[in-house]
Amino acid sequence: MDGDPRPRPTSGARRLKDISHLYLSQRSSARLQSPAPVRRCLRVGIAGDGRDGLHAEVCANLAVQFARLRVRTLVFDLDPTLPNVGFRLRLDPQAYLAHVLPTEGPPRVERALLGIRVVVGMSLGPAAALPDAVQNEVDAAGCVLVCMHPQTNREHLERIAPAVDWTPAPTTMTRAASSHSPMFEAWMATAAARRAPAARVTAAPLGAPRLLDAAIAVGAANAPAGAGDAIAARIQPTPVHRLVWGTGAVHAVGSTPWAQVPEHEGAAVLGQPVSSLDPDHPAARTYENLAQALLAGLGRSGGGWHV
Amino acid sequence: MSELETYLEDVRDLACAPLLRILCEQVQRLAPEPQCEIGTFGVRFRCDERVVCELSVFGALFIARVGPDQAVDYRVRDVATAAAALDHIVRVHAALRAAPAALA
Repeated sequence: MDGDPRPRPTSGARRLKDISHLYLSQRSSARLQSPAPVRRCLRVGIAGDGRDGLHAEVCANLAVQFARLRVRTLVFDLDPTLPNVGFRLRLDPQAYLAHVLPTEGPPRVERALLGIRVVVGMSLGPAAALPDAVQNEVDAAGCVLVCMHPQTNREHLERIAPAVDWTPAPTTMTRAASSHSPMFEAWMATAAARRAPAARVTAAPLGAPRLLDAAIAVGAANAPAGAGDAIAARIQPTPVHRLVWGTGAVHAVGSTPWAQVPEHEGAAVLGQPVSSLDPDHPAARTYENLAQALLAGLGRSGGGWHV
Repeated sequence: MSELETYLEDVRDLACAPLLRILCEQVQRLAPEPQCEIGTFGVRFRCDERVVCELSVFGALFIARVGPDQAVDYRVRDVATAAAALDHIVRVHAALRAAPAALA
C-alpha cells in the first residue's frame, strides 16, 4: 500500500514495538506482582496544661470523629489524671482505672464507644515492651491518638514509638527503580543524556526523628501562649498546633491559634463526648472539621510530614 | 506531712488501707482539687462547700458515701467495689463542677 505520503522510518530508527519486548519479556513473575501497599497511619498527640482535663476532652471527641469517618482509631492514654480519656469514652471503671488499681497488669486494649480502641494500664513509669495484642491493634489502626500528660516528654513517647513506627511511603521513582525495569533504565539514560538541571529537592529535616505527625496543645482562650511552646520544646521536632478552648478572645498576642473549639459540656457531665451525643453541635462540627483536616494533611504529604 | 497523709499513716495497718490510699490520692488529683477534711467520720472531700464523698474506715473495709446528700454508699473491701466507688466520685465531682447552682 503506498497511499500514505508520509515518509517511512528509516531502518535504524526504533519504534515502540521494537522496544516493548524489553519491558514485557524480561519481567519475572515476582516483578509482575504489585508492590505491597504502604499503610498510612496518622499519629497525633494531644497535650494540655492538665487543668480541667481539656486535652482529654479534645482527644475523646477527635477519636469519636475519626471513628465516624470510618478510620480505625486507637488511643494511647498516657495521662493518669481522672477523668481520663477512657472515662470519657465510656469504658468500664475497671478498664479506665487500670493504671491506678492494684490489679494492674500489662497494658491491654479495651473497646470503647463506636469501637474505638483504648490502650489502658499505661503509666509514666519505666518502659516495657508492649504485648503482642496491643502491637497487633497498633498495626491495624489507621489513626493513633496519644493523650499526653502535662509532663509527657520525648522519653515517654519513645516508649510507644516502636509500636507506632511507620516507614515513609516510597516515591514513584523509588518503586520504579527497585523494579529493575529495562524501560525505566532506558528512560533514565535518556534523561541523563539531556543534562537538564535537576529538580530542587527539599531535604527532610535532620536530627531526631519525629515520633508523632503532629501534636495539639489545648488551652483555654485566656491562657498564655507559652504552654504550647513548652510542649513543643519537650517533644521536638514534632510540630505543635495550638487549639483554643472557648469562644472568648484569644489572650496570647501574636499567636494565631490553629483552631478554636466552642465551649461545651464535657463527657464527664454528658455521659459521652458531645461528638457522639449531638453530632450537629457547633463544637462537634468543629471537631469533625479538625479530623478531616488532619486526615487531609496526611494524604497530601504522602507520609505525614505536612500534618 | 499533710493532714490526709497523717491519717493514712495512722490506718495503714488495716486491711482496707491500700484501697483507701488509692481512692484518696485519686480524689485529691481531681481538678479543681477538692478540699480535704479529717474528723471522727473519717475523710471528707468537699467541692465548693458541697460534699463530694466521705470515706469512713471500719477495719477490714471502708464505707464510701458519695454525693452531696451522701445517699449512695459503697462497702469497699475489694478492687471492683473500689473502682465503682471511684467512678461514682468522679461523676459527682464533674457534675458539681459543671452545674453548681442546680445542685446547691
